[in-house]
This record gives sequence, structure tokens and C-alpha cells, in this order.
Amino acid sequence: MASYILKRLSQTFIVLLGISLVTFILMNVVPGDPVLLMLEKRATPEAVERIRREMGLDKPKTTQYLNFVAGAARLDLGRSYFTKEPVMTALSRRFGVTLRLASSAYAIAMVVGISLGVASALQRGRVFDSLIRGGAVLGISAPVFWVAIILQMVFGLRLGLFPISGIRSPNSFVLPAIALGLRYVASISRVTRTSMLEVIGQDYIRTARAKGLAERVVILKHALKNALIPIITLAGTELGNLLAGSMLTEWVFSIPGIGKLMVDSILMRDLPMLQGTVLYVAVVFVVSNLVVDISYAFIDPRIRYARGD
Amino acid sequence: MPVPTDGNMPDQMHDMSTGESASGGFFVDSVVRMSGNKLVILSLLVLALLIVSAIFAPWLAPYDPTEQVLADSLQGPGRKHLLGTDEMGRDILSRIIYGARISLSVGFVSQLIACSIGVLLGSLAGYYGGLADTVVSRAIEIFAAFPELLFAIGIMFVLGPGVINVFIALGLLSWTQYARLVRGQVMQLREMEYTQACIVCGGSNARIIVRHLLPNCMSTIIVLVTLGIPGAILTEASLSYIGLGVQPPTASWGQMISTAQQYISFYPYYSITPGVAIIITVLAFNIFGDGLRDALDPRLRD
Amino acid sequence: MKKIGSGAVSVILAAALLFGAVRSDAAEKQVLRYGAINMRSTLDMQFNTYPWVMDISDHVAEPLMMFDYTMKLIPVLVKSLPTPTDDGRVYRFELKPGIKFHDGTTLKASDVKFSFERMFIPENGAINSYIADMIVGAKDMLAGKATELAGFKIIDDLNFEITLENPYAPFLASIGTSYGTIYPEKACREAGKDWGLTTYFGTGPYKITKFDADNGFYVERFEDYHGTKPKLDAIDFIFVEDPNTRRMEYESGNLDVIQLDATLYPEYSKSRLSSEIGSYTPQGTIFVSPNLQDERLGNVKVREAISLAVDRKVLVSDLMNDTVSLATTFIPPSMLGFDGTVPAYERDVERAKQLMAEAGYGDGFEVDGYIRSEQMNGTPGRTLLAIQSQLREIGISINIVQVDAASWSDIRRSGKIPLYIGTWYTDFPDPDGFINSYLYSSNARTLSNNYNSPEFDKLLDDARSTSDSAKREDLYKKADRLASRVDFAVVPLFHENMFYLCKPYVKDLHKSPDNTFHFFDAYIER
Repeated sequence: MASYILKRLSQTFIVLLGISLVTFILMNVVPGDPVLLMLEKRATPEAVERIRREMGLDKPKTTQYLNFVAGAARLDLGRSYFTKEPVMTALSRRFGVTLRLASSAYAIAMVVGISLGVASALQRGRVFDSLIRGGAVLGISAPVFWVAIILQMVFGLRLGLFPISGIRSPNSFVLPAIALGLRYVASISRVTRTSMLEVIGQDYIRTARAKGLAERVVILKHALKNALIPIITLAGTELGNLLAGSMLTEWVFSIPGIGKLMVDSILMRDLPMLQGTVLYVAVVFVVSNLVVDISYAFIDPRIRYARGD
Repeated sequence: MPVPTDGNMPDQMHDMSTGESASGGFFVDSVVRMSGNKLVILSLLVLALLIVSAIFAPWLAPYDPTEQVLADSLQGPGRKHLLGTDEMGRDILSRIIYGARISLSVGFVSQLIACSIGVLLGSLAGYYGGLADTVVSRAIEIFAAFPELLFAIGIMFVLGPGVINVFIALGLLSWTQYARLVRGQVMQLREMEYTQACIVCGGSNARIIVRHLLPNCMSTIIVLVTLGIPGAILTEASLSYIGLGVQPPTASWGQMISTAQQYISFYPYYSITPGVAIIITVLAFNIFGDGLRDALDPRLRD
Repeated sequence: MKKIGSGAVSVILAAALLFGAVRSDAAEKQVLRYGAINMRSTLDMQFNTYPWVMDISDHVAEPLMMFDYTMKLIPVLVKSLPTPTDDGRVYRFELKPGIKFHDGTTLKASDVKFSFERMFIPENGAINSYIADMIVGAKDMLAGKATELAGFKIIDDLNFEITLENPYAPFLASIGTSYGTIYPEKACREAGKDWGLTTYFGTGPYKITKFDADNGFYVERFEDYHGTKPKLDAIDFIFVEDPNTRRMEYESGNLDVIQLDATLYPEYSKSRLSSEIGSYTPQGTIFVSPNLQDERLGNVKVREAISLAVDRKVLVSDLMNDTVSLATTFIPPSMLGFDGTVPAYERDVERAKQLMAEAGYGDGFEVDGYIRSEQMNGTPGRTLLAIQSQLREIGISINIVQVDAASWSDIRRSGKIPLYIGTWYTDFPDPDGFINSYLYSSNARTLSNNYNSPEFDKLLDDARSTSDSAKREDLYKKADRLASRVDFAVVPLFHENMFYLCKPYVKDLHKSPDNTFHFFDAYIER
């Protein structure tokens, strides 16, 4: 097991290096220069050259990249070109916000998704089941930003039930979490339904029922408990997706999280900040996959010896 | 959505022997099975309708979608303009109809590009293994770990705006799913006796991949394309929403939502119509894709 | 509290009793909530150019003198505005005594010298050093050849003298912008790179009490302020970046003041919020900017044809709903050098077609029209869409190319944009900060306009070094007419009015033509 994890970790390192290299190349290929953006209409050749030197952009590209890697190895991601703030400071601050948003969305997705999935499985083939399954497909078919806008207008402006934007009040996260969580409600309810149906068909559930246990106890204690494994597996991956995919939601609701920071950084060609946020997302993504894989390996030891590894 | 695990497609791929029966009869069976589902048939009808209206937009649309009548701007739905007019006095219904062209073509073309890249790299990695597999696997992981929208934005910056570039950007975005699945399947098929027999008989590698291995992956690929299209349509809408997609005055649903958002407290219907158009299209593709998957390749279920 | 009449106090107390204790807290403290944009920038005005940041910085830190909301230059830290010596090169300033910074230290001439020198130290990378780089020795410092500003002489703690290389008439206006803000030497040095990030103060009427780079800034009244004490207890600068979201927040009563895009004026003027709309006229112009290096647009006949084919009246009435005024020249009406005697541009499509034929483009041509994506839904984007449709009549077909702001500044600087809708606003109310910074050959080159007329440049050079106001005005009039009516280096369309929404209980709030809010006199009366 240890060697498997070690191997995966070293692969993760290569992936992170690759991601930072792709980001670096991408940002050096795109038109747009942070110095010009900063100087705006007063970009005289002398001023451009002076600022470029100050930001270290006059050095050869390879040196710039190697400096970044060397810094990153020491957990120093440099400073933002624009705010001059250390990237690590901004990241840790913003991470808290995105974490709150993602975990609220996650909680909604899990609670609503699992309940709907269980209900759907129990009502298999009836109208209620079709409604839930239809709703689930609808949930993954609506553009997140559009749902966000509509929620904002109806529940924020018209009904005044929840804050429209920002993170100033504790229930600020309600609407963004719904907008963000919606599509995960859909996928979790689907998996729950499938998994429940499989479990309900098993002998021990029939036995439990035959023993005359209350239906509620059978469903919650026996069926759901055993159906949880694939749900948890999916949930692990979805948490990663949530933490990485809150960009447009943060945009619409003016939430200062990682996603917003990422969009701002690419728009402003703030390379150090972009590298930081991209690496953050990659780490979250890779780590959550790693956890899922390792738990697979625990559950099903065959995987460790799978070919092509 | 499957996770970028390290090439170990958990259990779902094990039973590939049925792939051998992927003859004409199998497909016919599938279609028969699918036709039992009313919802799938309905979604198929909706898709047909969308495709027809996209192709025949110039004849169906009541107005030129770019024709401005500034004095008639922001009118509500009425007899002259069924869905009203936008801020430049253009007919919203006509723009929605023309918008279908963009959404559908983005969906199809981008997935074809993604599919070509993914199938090529995936089958190479799966067939040859070793170094080829390592390189492709790491590339898949690197690309998959990039936040989707951010990557699309980056590529759009490099390529510049325009609908062709949206095709390319979205194609580059989603090849990893194809590569991952094809790699896994090819890897397993390669170990099958009949493949080994082909190799022993001295069949060329390219011939084995193209003639024997890929046909067995066809159902998976078809399902992935069908399920990839709605994702691409949504991403195009997001790109257009932030101003990076199709260029004005060409109508695109995402861009219409972005413009309409300004007027949401005065003319909510203007925001709602393009959103509903997207939902209907994506929904139809999702239902159809689900039905297709159940019929062709039930093991792909989540 | 003292500033409000006792009548108001009793009303507030009564209201507090009615609405309970929670309300009373809010009512007692006068806090203005302003919907701001997070520019992701330091507050330090030597390192950014955003009016959104100026809105915050101007209330916290001050330059030697500044523009009030009528664009009159008034002394702030100095006793009076100095007049230069006879040759126009030497200015002698005297600071008001006893001015306190927010940390309790007293303003001295050395702080002023420090603030200016800070602009010119190359390693600092200040971006607005152009406002004062005419001071003797500034360019040497920028080039790393000197470590002290030779043209800045401290006489004593309150008196200092600044010497310029050449006479420069708008010097005081130039250093009276927010970019000339004076910082306390000791604190600023100690903060280093964090100045404007986690520490930022000056001599202004408000001091920052909550630094939150992500959500907004909270500033409270500085009790030792040297000027008239402000009436508001605090201003809450709340970041809400999306303009649509900002308007929703305003409408639901969570913000007191926000900016309103002109394209939305008609809807709001028809709504119940119409009485809450405030307007101001920035000094600026919206125009078509052709690239004179472009083969087709380099032909003056084509440019004149564009001017003749554009229907400015439709733009003003139908597109902009009469919220704008027709442009007759490049320089806007309220600025020195505006010539009121110039008649309106005429519209003559037949003549335009004829000019196109004479230029050899009788069949028309295609040209790329660039726009920044964030402007697509605003006035420039909609103007471009309208022009696109109008110019089809003379065979010019514009392909709209949307690019993000960073690509825009890069592509525009490389001179590759063939045509765009220019929106140009002045840095300070003087034609030198307006027509010169856009059309002077060395500037026009970096703006994808490429106007290069020695005659025009000469007129501006002469105007720059003349201190005789009447003579300057005449020179600018001549230059403007040459560029906008003879050479058609720009095709002016209209001058914008801009709008904001402000709750009726906010009184005496001013928006200055330079696009910044002046909350100095504002108070709340419910």
C-alpha cells in the first residue's frame, strides 16, 4: 500500500509541475501585458521598460519559470503584479470563503440529493420517481450563471428573503450554495437511486423485512447504510469539483473566493496570482482523486495490481 | 462524470466481451429497446425540431436577427414581435432561432474534435502501453486538473474570439474523457484472445486498432459524444456570457442572457427566454444521451 | 451627532423607539453605504489609475491642492495656490501649519519631498510619475542617475520650492490630481510594499478602520482633520462588482449610492426611482477612432465619408435617448479650447458615397472594429453596433472583434486596431491632459490612431509652454479644428452625461466631472 501511495504522490508531483508549465506557457502566449494594463494610457516606452524591470519581467522566460518553481518549492508563490500582495496570503484568505461556499453547496447537494434518491428508489416506476428523475436532469441542464441570476432576482430582490450578494451576513451563502449545489443534487440523487435499488433487491433486506422490522428501520438502517459506499465515492469527487468550479457563481454573487480570484487574475494577466490559484485547484482536484483511488484500493485490493499502472 | 483515476476504470469496464457482439443486430436491438421509452422519443423529436429550425433559420425567423430598429427597442411580447425586441430594437424570437445554429454547431463540432483527439491518443496509449501510456496518462491528468472554464478562457485569449475558435477551445477542453475511456477499453480488448491471435498472425498494429479494437469501442464513443454535446453547449453559453464567445451582432444565447441581465428588473422575460432555450436544448440532449447509454452501453451508468 | 439639529435628533430618537433598539444603532451613526468595485489594486495612488480607487483614497489622503466638484482647483495642504516666477519655472509653496496625519504626526515639507521622490525611484515602479516628471532632476532619478530630486528645495518645515525644466502652465492642476497625494514619510517607509495594502493613511477627513481587500473598506471620521469636519460618521465602501447585482442591492435598500450606466437611464427615468437619479457631465468625448496607418482609413476622404455617413442625431435621440450632447469638435464644451462657433457636423450620405468612390472604394470594404468585452453592453458597445449598421450604407462593413481589457491594451499599443469607438476622458481639466494625451503624434502612435501632423504637434507644443491663457485657448482651438474637422483624425460623435443613483435621504452628495464621488459635504437626513 505504502509504495502505491508513494508512486501516486510522485505522479501527482509531475502533474503539478506540468500544470504550472502549461499555465506559464499559456500566459506567455496570450496577448495582453500586465505592464500595459497597469500603465493604461501613459505607457511610454521608458515607463514600460522601468516597470517591467521592477517586476522581473525583463529576465529570460526560462529564468522566470525556474524562479517560480524554486519559489513554489519553498511555498513562496511570489507577489501579485497588481496588488503587490503575497500570493499565499491572498490564497489562504480566499480559500476560507470558497470552502464555506462549497461546503454549504455540498451540504445541500448531499442532504437533498440523498433524500430524493431514496424517495425515488422507494417509489420506483411511479409518478414521483419520474418527477424526481426528470428534475435531476433539469438540474444539470440549466446554466449555473442563469440559475444564479434568476435566484438573485426572485429570492433576493423580489421576495427579499436572502442577501443578493457579498458575504456580509451569515445567510449570504444560501442562494449561491443553491445555485452551485443544484447540479450536484442531480448527480447524487441519481447514484443514490441506483445504489438503493441494488441494495433493496438483496437477500438480507428481504430477510429484514420478513423479520417484521418497521419499513423505516429497514430503509434507513439497513438499505441506506449499505448503499452509501458508491454515494460517498461520488461525493469525494464532487467535493473537488465544487471547490474548483465555483467560478461563475462567485462572479454573479460578488463572492471573493478562489474562483473569482482566478478569473480576475487571468483577466489582468496577473501571472503569479494565476499560478497560485491554478495550483490550488489542481492540488484539490488531484488530492481528492487520490483519496478516492486509495479508498478504492482499500475496498478492492485487485486495483493495486491493475495493468498499465 | 468519471474521475481521472490512474487508468483503473473501476469495475465498470471489466465485462467487455459483450463488445464482440457489437454487430448491426446489437444496434437494432438498442434502438428497439430505446423506442420503448416515451421520454427519449420526445427528446429525439425536440432535437429534430431544433436541428431543423437551425438549418432553416432564414426561412423560419420572422426578421433579420441583426436588423436594428432603435426606436422600437425593448418592447414586450406582442403581435409584431412574438417575444419582444432587445435593446437595439432587434427581434428576440429571430435571435433565439439563429442562436440555435451557434449552440448546436458548437456542440457537434467541438465534440467531434475532442473525440478525434481523444480516440487517437487513448487507443495509442491503451494499445502500446509503456512510455506512450505514461505520457498520455500524465497529459490526461494535467488537462483534467485544469479548471474547465479557466482553461477555455485561456485558450480563447490565445486564439482570439470567434465561433471557429470556440469549436477548437471546447474540443481541446473535453478530449480527456474520450482518451481515458478508449484507453481503458483498448487496454482490456488487447488482452482478449482474438486480439492476441491477430497479433500472432502478424496483423499490423494500425490495422488491429482500426479494424478490431475501435469498432468495439464504438458504442461507448457514441454515448460519450451524445452526453458531451450538452456540456459543450453550456460551456459555450458561459464563454459568451463573459464576452468571449461568438462575436456580435451574431446571436448567441449566452450573450443574450448577459445583455438581458442588465434589464432584469424591468424586462424579466428578456432574461428568461434565452435561458429557457438553453435548458430545453441541453435537457433534450441529456435525456436522449441517457436513453442511448442505457440502450447501448449500460455499464457506463454512474 | 452635534452637526445634526436637535430637531433631527428627536425625530431619530422617536424613530428609534418605534423601530426598536436594532434600528437605533443604525440611525444614530451616519454611515453612507457606497457600492464600489474591487479593482484588485493597492490604494496607493502612485500605482493605479482607477477612479474607483480614487473614490476611496481621496477621502483618506490628500494632495497639496485638489479639484472640488465644480472642477475648481482649491488649496488643501498649502495656504494658497502659488503663482510661478516670471519665467514660469519656479513655484514656492507654504504648507498650512499643524496638519496631522492619521498616525498623529505632523505634515512637514520633507513628507512632500519624500512623496514626490518616491514616484521617481525606479525600483518602486510607480506608474503615474508623468504628472510631475517635468520637475528638474525627475528624469535623472527615473533613469537611475540621481537619488535626490534636484528641483525640490526644502526651505524649512513648512516652505519648499519646486523648479521645472520648462514652463508648464497646467503644473498645479497636474500635481493636484489624486496621483499627487502626499504620504507620511516615516509610516510609508516602514510599511514598504504593504503601503496601500494593509496600511494606508494621509491627512484626509476619514481614516480607514477596516481594511478588507476582498469585501470593502470602512472609513471613519478623523477627529483631528485640518479642514471642515465632515458630517458623516463613516463611509462604508462595499465591493459589489457586477453592475447588475449592484443595482439590485441598491433597489433592495442595501446600498445608498451607486453608479448607473447611461444605457439604463431611460428605464430608470420611467420607473419609480426616477427622482433618485443624479447626473454629471464628465469632460470627455465619444468618437470613432480610425487608424491612420490603415491603408483605407489612412485616406482622409474615407474618414470624411465616415463622418458624413454617421447619423449622429439618431445616435443621440434613439440610441442614447437624449442623454448625451452632439459633438462638434474633439474638445468637450466645458474645457479650455472649446470653440462654440463651430457648426454641427453635417450628414450627407450621397456625398459620403462620392468621397468613397473618389478614394477608390466605391464598392466599400470590410474592416475590424475592436471593442473591450466589458464595454460591449455599455455605451461604447452599443454605439459600435449602431455605427456598424449605419456605415453599411456606404459599403463599409465592420466586423466586431471583442477582446478582454488586457489584450485590448496590448493590441491597441501595437497599433494593430484598425477602428474602435474611442472614449477619452481628461485626467485634469486642461486640454493638455486631453487632446495632447490622445492626438499628439507620440501618443496617437500608442493608441492605434497614428495621427501624425507636424502642424498639429507644433500648435500643441506652443500651447504647452505658453502661460498666457488667451493665447493658449486660441492655439487649442486651432489644433482641435485641424484634427477633428480638416484631417478627421477622429470622428467625434457625442459627449456623454453620466448617472448615479442616490437615496433621497442622502443630502449634499456630489459627483465630480472627473468621475469621482465627493462625499465631503454629504449627510443623511431620514
